[in-house]
Amino acid sequence: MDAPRAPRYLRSMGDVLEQVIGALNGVLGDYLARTGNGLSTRMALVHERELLPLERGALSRAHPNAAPRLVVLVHGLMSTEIVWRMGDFEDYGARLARDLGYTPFYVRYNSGLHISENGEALDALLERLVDAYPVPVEEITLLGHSMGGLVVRSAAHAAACRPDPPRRWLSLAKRAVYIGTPHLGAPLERFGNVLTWTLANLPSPYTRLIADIGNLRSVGIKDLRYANLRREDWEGADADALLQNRRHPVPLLPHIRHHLVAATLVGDPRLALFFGDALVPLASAAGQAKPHHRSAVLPQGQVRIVPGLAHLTLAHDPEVYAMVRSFCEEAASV
Amino acid sequence: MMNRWRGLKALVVDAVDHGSRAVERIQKETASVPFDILEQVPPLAAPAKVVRFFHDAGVSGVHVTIRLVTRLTGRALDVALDVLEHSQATPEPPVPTEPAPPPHPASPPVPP
Repeated sequence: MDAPRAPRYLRSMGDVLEQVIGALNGVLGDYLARTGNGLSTRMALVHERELLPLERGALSRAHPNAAPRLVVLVHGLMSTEIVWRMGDFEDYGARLARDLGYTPFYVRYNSGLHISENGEALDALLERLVDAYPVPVEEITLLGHSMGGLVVRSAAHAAACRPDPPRRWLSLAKRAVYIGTPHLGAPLERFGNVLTWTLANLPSPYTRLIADIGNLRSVGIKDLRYANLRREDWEGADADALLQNRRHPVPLLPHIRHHLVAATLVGDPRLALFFGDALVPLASAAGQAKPHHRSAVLPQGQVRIVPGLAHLTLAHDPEVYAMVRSFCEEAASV
Repeated sequence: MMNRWRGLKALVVDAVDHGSRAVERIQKETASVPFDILEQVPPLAAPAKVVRFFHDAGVSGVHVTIRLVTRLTGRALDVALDVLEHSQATPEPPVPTEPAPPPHPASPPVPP
């Protein structure tokens, strides 16, 4: 017999609490993890607000009609799986389940950790998911919003770099959709870096204090400066040094179909290029890499631009869902 | 859930601790500017050093007290959370003990 569901207001309060903790993890997640704080989030799958153990029995109970096609949704910085929720309490995963027969899985993680650390954790989690899944998996679609897209890319890179045995999930991953993902980094974080560096170097204890407080922001946020995906991008480096791009290119895996969704808030193409969806510029979300970016080449033919949407709205918009669905249909028909 | 309360408590204690250290450092650095100047003037150097000593000791004393009280409050909260957790834990029903089954006799070999 199912456990009785909590009243709606309690569920709403629980959602708010999870969102606050998600935001806290985004800002201070590395500190929370380092100090063993109980507020630190460990990467896990979430099903109906509860953590979903990666065991066959638990997966069967959560998804009695488990389909061989999975979609895994990975949220962004300072966020939780609640970001995917649309007005009608559906989300991209639930709609893909209804429309195309996917089984959705929602990842929750500490977005304040290094992207490469979360990538490695996602790599391990997906492998355990494939192992424990009650029916043989035929394909996996990965959906990443904002930083989540970088975590997906980092996970694929970590899996591809692993020595034997090869990761099973990687060969099953057929497509990845990056929604508002800052492939070339986020100018807001670069601005924060310049500001804190300047304050730290002024001869005043007060500005140094402000700089110290600013530099408490998590390494996950600092990784967004240049979209660091690999350990080599940050290991041995001073995270607060002024505008040091140590990024190593991470090529997209050729057997996966990669789709990029970017948004623009303003109509002017030049402004859109810089402001994009208010947090991620169009050039970064569309992966328009130039040699000085030290980034992999991203498929410009697979970029879709949605006008008039803000960064967070990208994760729960019907128009974006229609695009995601068309990607999945298109890939299924190939 | 109790783990998260402990986490919140630890975070507040850490914030007060780090904040207090930062403010203490700033107060001492700010006060060192006039003291450094006064200590350059020969007739004032000796009294200025004495005043600086008492000033810095006073500032440190206040902040050490703040940190001490915060830690003690944190410890008290830990105890309160432990008690709360203990009182919420439902006692498990006693497991009925059954007599151990007799050992299986060696099964005879199955004829092919």
